[in-house]
Amino acid sequence: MADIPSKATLAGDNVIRRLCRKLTILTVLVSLTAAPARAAERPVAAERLTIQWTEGAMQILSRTPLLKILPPTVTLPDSTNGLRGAWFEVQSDKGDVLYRRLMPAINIVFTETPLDPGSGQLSRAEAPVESQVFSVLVPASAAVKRVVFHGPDPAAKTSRTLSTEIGRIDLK
Amino acid sequence: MTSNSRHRPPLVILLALLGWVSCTCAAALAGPSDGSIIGATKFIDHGPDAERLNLVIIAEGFTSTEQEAFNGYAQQLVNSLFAFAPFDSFNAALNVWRLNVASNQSGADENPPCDPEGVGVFVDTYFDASFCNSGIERLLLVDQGLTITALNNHVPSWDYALVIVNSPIYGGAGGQVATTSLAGSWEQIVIHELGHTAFGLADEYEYWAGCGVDTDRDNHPAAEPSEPNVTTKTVLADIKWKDLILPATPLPTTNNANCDFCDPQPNPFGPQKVGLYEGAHYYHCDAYRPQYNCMMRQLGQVYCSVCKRVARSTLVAYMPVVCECPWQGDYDADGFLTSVDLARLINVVYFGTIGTQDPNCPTRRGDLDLNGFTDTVDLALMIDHVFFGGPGPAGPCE
Repeated sequence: MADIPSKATLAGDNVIRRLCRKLTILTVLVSLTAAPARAAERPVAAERLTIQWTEGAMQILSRTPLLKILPPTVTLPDSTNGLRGAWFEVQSDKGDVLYRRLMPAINIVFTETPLDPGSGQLSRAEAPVESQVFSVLVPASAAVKRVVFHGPDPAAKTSRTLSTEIGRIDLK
Repeated sequence: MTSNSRHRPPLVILLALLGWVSCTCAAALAGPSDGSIIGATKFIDHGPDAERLNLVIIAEGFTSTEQEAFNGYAQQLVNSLFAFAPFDSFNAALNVWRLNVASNQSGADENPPCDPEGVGVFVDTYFDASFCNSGIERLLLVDQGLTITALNNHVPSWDYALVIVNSPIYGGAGGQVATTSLAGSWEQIVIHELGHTAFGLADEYEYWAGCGVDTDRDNHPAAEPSEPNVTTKTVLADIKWKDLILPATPLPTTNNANCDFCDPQPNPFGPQKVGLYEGAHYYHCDAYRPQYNCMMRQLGQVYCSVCKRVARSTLVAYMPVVCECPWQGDYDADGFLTSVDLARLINVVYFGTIGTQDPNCPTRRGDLDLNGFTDTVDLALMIDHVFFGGPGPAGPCE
């Protein structure tokens, strides 16, 4: 007679199988509790720069070293007609871009509120500012030379312009 | 009094006293006298600050006796945010902090230009919040320098900040330190603003002040927006989200027949269809958005596929890795799952709570048996979810 496992044997196997699974889960849970899970990325040496922008000039108010995961660098779209928007670039001595992030325009403040109470449609209004304090997180490494800020031309006092360099900070 | 101080010459004591007085005065002049910072509390703690995005919710215009109310609003915002995709699956990437600040008085200033009587309303609040800046009634600003100083001092690893202003008047501001009042659907607006600040998303709506209101929003200038979710390009190869457009999709997917106005046509396709919809980035024509609707176009909507992908690409770096047993399947260059090997998946141990999705492990979805093993897999949910092991073939899953 062929070795056909009985229902009882199958049930027993099942119990053992389930027990093993439970032990596996328990082991995993214990290990998770014992050691906090690390993030998908590792923290890197970074700096928080707090900067005062006043039309035509930038001044560092504080530099704070941090260990931190930084959000990913971004690529700008190709355009022969120029770009709109605001961003900052961390550059090397030779001007190579080491890190870039989009950011809110430094020289414009804006509000978005519902067109009508309860309406999902938003309405936007903006105004230029002549001075602003802001902060950026940048990687800290020997290769970093400067941070360059781009945004709407401050002279135009509106976001409806091509982006231009509006200031830079040397970090060495 | 110690023996040393007992023998100090009176002049030294006087100078020390003068020094203390001058320091105190300088501090009063440099800092706000309209309240005090109570302290920061990490009330959603998903791990070390260095490895998570730290969102800080700041109280403004709440007196010391109104802090519990502020705490409630902060929790209300988190509940809304964590119910919204992709934060629902990726909330483990975030720590959320409250910065409790007691103001001397409730509310915010209302600057005179917007007051019918031209007098205005002024209250003593810590960050000096005020409506009606630059003559814009709803532009609600705080002292951004003071706010950033408070953030740097109390939550050094802060990434994003939101100031909740204790006022029922409609108002707010976008930007690095966003503000919101407590009017209407304020949590929705905050999620929209977070799209700008955290992920660099553009507004997708096709007007500025309103459809039928604008007279100078007919045609978008030729300059390309830097943001990833709007474009002026109509050739597939140049479109930022070209990989999400199916081959049969017409480009542009919709055209606005009259650039003097917002396009009134209803969505000719399903809500999920990614294409090139004319009308975006504050213009009726010559700028395009990826889907017919999106949270970046209208409150109450979800993020479109493009916005979701951009958000995920930021959030994923901060997710704790608890999914040590990788999915078997194929991954694209960004580490997103594109197909799965079902045979290998079934009966793989599930690390999370039995019967529910593990918030720390958004790739693992499906039906689970009582022991937490996957019995079936919801493929639709899994495809395109991020794989934490990185691109390339997955290893053995034992």
